[in-house]
Amino acid sequence: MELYKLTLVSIINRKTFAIFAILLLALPFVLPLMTPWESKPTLLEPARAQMAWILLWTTAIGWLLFQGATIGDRWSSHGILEYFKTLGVSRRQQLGQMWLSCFTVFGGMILITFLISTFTAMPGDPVEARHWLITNLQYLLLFVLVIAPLLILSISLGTRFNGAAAYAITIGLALYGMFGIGYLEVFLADNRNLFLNLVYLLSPHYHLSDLTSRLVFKLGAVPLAELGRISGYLGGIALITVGLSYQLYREGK
Amino acid sequence: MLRNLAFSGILVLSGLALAAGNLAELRSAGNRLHSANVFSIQGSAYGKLLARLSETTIDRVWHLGVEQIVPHYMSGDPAHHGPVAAPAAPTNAAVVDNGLKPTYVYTPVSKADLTPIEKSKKWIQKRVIAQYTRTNPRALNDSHLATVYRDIEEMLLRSFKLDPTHYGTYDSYHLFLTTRDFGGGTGVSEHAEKIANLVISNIFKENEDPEPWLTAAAAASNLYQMASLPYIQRNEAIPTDILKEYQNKIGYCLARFDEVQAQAEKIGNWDRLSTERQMEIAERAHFAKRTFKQFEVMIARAESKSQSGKTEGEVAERSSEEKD
Repeated sequence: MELYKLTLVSIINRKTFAIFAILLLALPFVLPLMTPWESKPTLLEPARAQMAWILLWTTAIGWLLFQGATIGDRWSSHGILEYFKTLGVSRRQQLGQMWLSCFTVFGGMILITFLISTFTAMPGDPVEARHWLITNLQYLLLFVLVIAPLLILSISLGTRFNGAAAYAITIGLALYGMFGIGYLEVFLADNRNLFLNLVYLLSPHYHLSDLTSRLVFKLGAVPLAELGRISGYLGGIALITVGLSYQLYREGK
Repeated sequence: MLRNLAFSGILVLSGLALAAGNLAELRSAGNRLHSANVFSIQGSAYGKLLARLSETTIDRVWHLGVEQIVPHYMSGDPAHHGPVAAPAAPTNAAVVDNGLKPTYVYTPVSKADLTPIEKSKKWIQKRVIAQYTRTNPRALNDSHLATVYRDIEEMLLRSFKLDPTHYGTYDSYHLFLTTRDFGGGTGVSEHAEKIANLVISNIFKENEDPEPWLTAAAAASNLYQMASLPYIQRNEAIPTDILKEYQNKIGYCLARFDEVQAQAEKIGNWDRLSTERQMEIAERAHFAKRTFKQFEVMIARAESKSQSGKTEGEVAERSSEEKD
């Protein structure tokens, strides 16, 4: 686990995580107050949960994927990965350790969001409260299924190309999966073009993990069968991403 | 090398099978997968905020594109209009202005009275005005203007989606849809009806904030206007049942406004609003109620007309019988 420790120390020394951690803690309480809540105070609590999750997504896309891309780039261009290879640390272990070090710090951030969203905005009604807790746990699962493999991809792309390119590709993929597909869907509403429809089907539908509406409008938890389908699909995409990342990974430049 | 490839291959293939199988099931409902509302911004508290903020942008495009003058919120006073001077109409954006009170009576202040800070701020403001003042002697051509209208309509639709219960976003969008000069027409009225019904159904469960009920009342009166238009165009009397239907609908919205407003006052939500906002809402309610009163008069007139029509008919029948 030497590579894990080295990477973790490096992330902590860079200190940028602290900025995001502070924002994750403070903004869910500050930003809802900027909305026109005065005539409807019941807007405040769902707005807090909503902001907590939006900030977690923003941190994941803005900070986590960037960390992965730069660490992959730096360790492979400085020969660190080659060195660990000579020590007998396999490719799979190297990728796993770097991923885990990024996710150790990010795990704390996920915990902040989960706690704020679950416990500072929980509805008073016991039935609704149960649904609220389950929805938050479901959201957590789907979020990790999207972000964790994207981090692996950004690390392995970083080891092959440079950090900026690796980051641009992963962030592009994440934004396309969250927002871009929506535009494609509108375009395909009255379009029978085989190629475009195929592109649509083969796209990573990351937006399926977005359960924010279920929190904001208190829609209740996702039915178990449906959650199984969504997590099965996202899990499949995750396996493909990991499989490809493993091929893209390179110890030295 | 081969082992690595096999490892990746197994992952990718099993991933493909898992994803494809589940995607097929997810799509079997036939619905669209994407909600088109990522992070649920539309309709949330942030949607309300963004809808209000977008008023400034729409105002800027309207003034620069349609009226072709420097927007009031930039110039700060009506004296700095471009070549086409328009009457200083108070717009919503002027109220949103940078904290200044929307005073439209421009009283020139002599330069000597200004502090150096105010003078410097004026200097910057003048540069902003120069930045947006039209120097092209020709106005926008028709097709360009049509594009500007289209852009504004899209922006209005976006704000409407962000907060469908807001009076400003709904009513200005409705105005744009139904005004022929802005690109509206007969085909759009169905869409406008749909939007109005959507607004009413969205607001129907509102028990906390009184203001949306005024939006619902506005939507109901827009529906009335659309329903009565064919009769007015044919110069016929509007049927009493239409009048009564909309009297009921609008009356219900206004009654709910009063109830929810009284409740908000009791809980203390109402006091949290600024005096300006309270006055704005009260004025709008006053206006809505005044127009609502017209229904009583119209129904009474329609009923008395039909009564007199009936008696006239009876008299005619009787006189013809007498002749026989």
